[in-house]
Amino acid sequence: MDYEAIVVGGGHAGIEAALALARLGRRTLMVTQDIDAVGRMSCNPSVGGLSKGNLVREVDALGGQMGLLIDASMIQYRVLNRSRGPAVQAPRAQADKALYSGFARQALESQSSLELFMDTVVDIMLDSSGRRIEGIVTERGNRIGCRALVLTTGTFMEARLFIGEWSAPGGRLGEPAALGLGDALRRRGFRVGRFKTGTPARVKGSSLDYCEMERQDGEAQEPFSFLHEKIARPSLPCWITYTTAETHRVIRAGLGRSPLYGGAIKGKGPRYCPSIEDKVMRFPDRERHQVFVEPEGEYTDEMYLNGLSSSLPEDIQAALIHSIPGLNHAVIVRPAYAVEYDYLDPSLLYASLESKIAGGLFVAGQTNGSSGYEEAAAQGLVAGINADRFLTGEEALVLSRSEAYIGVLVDDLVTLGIDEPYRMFTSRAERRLALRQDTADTRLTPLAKSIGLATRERIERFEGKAAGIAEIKELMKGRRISRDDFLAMDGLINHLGESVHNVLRDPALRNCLVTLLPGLGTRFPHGWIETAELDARYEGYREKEARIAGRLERSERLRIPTDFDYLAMAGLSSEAAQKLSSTRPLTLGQAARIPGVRRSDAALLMIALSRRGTA
Amino acid sequence: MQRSYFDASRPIAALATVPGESALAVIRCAGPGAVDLVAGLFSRPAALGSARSMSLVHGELVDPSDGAAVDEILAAVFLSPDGPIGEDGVELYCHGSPAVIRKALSLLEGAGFAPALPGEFTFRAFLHGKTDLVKAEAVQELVRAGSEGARVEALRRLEGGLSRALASVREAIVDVLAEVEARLDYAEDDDSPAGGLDPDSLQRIRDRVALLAASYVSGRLYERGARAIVAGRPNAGKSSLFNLLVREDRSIVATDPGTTRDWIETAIELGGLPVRLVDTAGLREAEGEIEAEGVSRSRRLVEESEAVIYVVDGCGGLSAADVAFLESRPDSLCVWNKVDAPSCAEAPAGFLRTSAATGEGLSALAEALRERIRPRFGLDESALSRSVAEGDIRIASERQKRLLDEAVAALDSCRGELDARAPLDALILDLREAADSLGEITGEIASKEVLEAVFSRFCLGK
Repeated sequence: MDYEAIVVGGGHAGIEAALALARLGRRTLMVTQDIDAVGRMSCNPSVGGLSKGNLVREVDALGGQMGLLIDASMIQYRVLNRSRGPAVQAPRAQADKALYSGFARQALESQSSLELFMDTVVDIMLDSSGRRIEGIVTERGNRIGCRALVLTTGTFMEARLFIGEWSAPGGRLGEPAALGLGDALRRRGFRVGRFKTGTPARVKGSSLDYCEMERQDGEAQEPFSFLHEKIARPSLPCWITYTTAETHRVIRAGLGRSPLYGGAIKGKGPRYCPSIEDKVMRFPDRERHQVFVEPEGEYTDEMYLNGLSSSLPEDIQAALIHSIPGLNHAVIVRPAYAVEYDYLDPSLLYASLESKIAGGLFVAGQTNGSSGYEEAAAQGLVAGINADRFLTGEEALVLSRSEAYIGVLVDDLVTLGIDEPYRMFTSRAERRLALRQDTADTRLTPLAKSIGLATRERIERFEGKAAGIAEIKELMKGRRISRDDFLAMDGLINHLGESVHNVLRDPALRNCLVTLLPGLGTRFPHGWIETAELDARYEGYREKEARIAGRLERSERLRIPTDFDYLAMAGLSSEAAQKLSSTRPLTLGQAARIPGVRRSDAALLMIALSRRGTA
Repeated sequence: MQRSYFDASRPIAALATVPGESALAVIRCAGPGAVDLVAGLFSRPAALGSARSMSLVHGELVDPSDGAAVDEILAAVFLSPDGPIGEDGVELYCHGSPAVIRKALSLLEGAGFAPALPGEFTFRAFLHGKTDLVKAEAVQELVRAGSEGARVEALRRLEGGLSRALASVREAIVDVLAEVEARLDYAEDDDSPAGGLDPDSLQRIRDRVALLAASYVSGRLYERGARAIVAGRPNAGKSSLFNLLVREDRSIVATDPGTTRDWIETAIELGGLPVRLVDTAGLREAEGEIEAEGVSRSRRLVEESEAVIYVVDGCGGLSAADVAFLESRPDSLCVWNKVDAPSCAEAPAGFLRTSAATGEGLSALAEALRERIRPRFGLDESALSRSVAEGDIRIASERQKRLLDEAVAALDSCRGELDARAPLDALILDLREAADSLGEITGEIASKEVLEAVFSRFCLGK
């Protein structure tokens, strides 16, 4: 055996998988087509955002790399949704792309037990049973053995680029596709599908009219990583502008030359991140669409046109960009393009992200049909951890839906299957209030410690913070409202004798902490106080949320034996029986969420299972 | 071994009509292989086995052990997913002789059919998406319906009126939920819809759910009938009036004695409203220890009644006891009886003049009684006619009522949080809870406990 583990791909999933495996002591090889391209951000120059920011913090709390990389490379920081409630607030940072990629490379290269190798994988090797991974075959004929393999091929597998009538193989503009692997997996019986995604044009910053656009500055920077106290990075502005009636006219006129509308692209694109031509066609009533102009880095003049992803021909792209205020004289540096690529049906994976077809094969990131750097990183980390556990024979790490967005992500992918690129949303989580971004460490760092991915520094910082928050809560519980407080704030009169901890549950008194316990700020870091305060404020809501989720939980947790014979079960619709047989859900909850499984199928299954349970 | 309550893997059979002597009896058979199993007991097995779905086959039911014909029957064949249950099945129309039915059922059992448990057919219809829980409950009510009004109500639910009303209000909640979720899932600066939850649309939804919840009382009245008690001093003519009122309803089929021999209760129908008329003739005033119990029972009956007809003997005039009673129950319908008698005094104001002997004033009394109980059904005259003609909707089970109340409470709580300016991510919990409660009514969200509770209360063969 040449290596214990091989990771194919050096993107956001591959980085996490390779680092996790190597940090856990596995002799690991990362095979990538281009070592200069590891950690490259193919699309938007930012990390985080709603629910994605939570994912980044969870990856960090579990001992992953993404939080450290964005902390080291951010060039603007904002917290989104401040007005809409703490559970759905999330941090987002603009990244210096070159710096991000550079720090990623540094992390990989300095990691002991990890080697990097430049080659293109064209096939996998299985043992004589055909059910267990033995290694990889590369384009140049190298056969490299391993016991565990993590596939993170991103948008490169059998990939094809599209710009108007032009089309050519490629995984990213200027980078070759990984040809051969997708077809090899098809031949081996994997279910391979096609998805499409796109990216907007990049323009020369000095060619833009900034006075025509609205300036959007960042806020005071906060770290993503729980290992960092504060961040001192430059902060660059973004700019907001809007499409015009002329833009929409140009797009409609050019639609006939779109590969998407002309039918050249077969793969389905992300509904939640549509191209500008999709937005114009799907919302004909909208007079304008928002465009964010974002810097790609500190030492480049390239600007990213967020909101203008497209696969229209280059002359139409130029016309539509030039019809937008502020961009009238924009010099296009790179055109927008679409990429179509192979993904593997994730319902053929266990919740460990191990393949049901080949033992020891783990799949993560866009190869599973997800979209987004954060979704990829989260899966990469899970795949890396579970590849290690596969090698040691330990039970796989499966996070629950009420424990982490990572749990929601993996459960959705492997049980729902997908028919479009999967993006995380807070509404996918039934226990959203329990998954606040500021509590990711409380939820996951103890796990990281037991897995072996938490450094001593991380453990010490976490334990210090946990003790501090406990102390703040004690102070909040010990401080009671007296008559002397009535004058300080309206509404306290209703809470005579209650603790501050209780009073915080009153929405009208959400800001009472500073008034009632003014000394906290000098004793504890701001973030600790905020976490303790939110815990108190949301305690009642969290209980309510748990109760609502619990309504379904009893049946949710009803376990289905893996050898359950759906085809022999009378009354199940044949579609449901087939879907259930191929997906093999572990619980009734998973079964009920599978598309094609009807309410009545779930009811029947529930009764069959509870009978089995009591028999 | 006791067969599991809901084992859908076995074919089942049961008599679907009332047991006993009748012109026609229907035996329902359904489940895997049902058609072939019945064909084995049929004089023309090939004809039955190859029958198209939803067709009738004529032949004889045959005892396979000796080839003897049991009865001449019609067999209606349903192939999945057709028919009321959605499984392969046969309905046998045979002659309603208890001996034939007994023999037919024993032959079916011998052929492999398990005797159906109460509600099992409806349960299977639910499993196959042929019905939802509300409709299933309506089947129960239809079977038990005590009046034309109750029957119409149940039928309407079976047709899905209530399900549609619930689905429509639930959809309104889900729409609001979706809008709020969209706001939560896209950043403020992302061009997402601005603003918070609209209190007015929330209130409108809440009122619609509350209206459905409030229909429970009247729905129950339709099922049970409003209780109207005939009270008065001894010899005021209560029983005669009672009998005349009962005769006002020409459709009356049976008089059923009360749960004790002390009073008589009869179900009548007044202009579409079900009424349980109670005669307390058996209850006498307290003269000794033994009678006291009867009096307290009488008082309880009066308290529990939706209407009281208080009869006074016009010849005897108003006594202190009468005045005391009427003060305690001022909403009584006051009746001045025996107006045909020469010695009858002038009726005081507010009294209805009646004569049990001549029938005078009876129609007026019946009409007045109907007017008195009508508000209890939540109806004005036009609403009643509209509900009968078009299908106004009422809920009728405890389960539905409880879940609707939960939904109203959740929506009220949402309004409270909104007024207290709680954040959007907290508000949305109440909306989800309301949507879940409504979903549970129709079975969109159903636990095993709910399913068993609903289906185990069925009578056989439905």
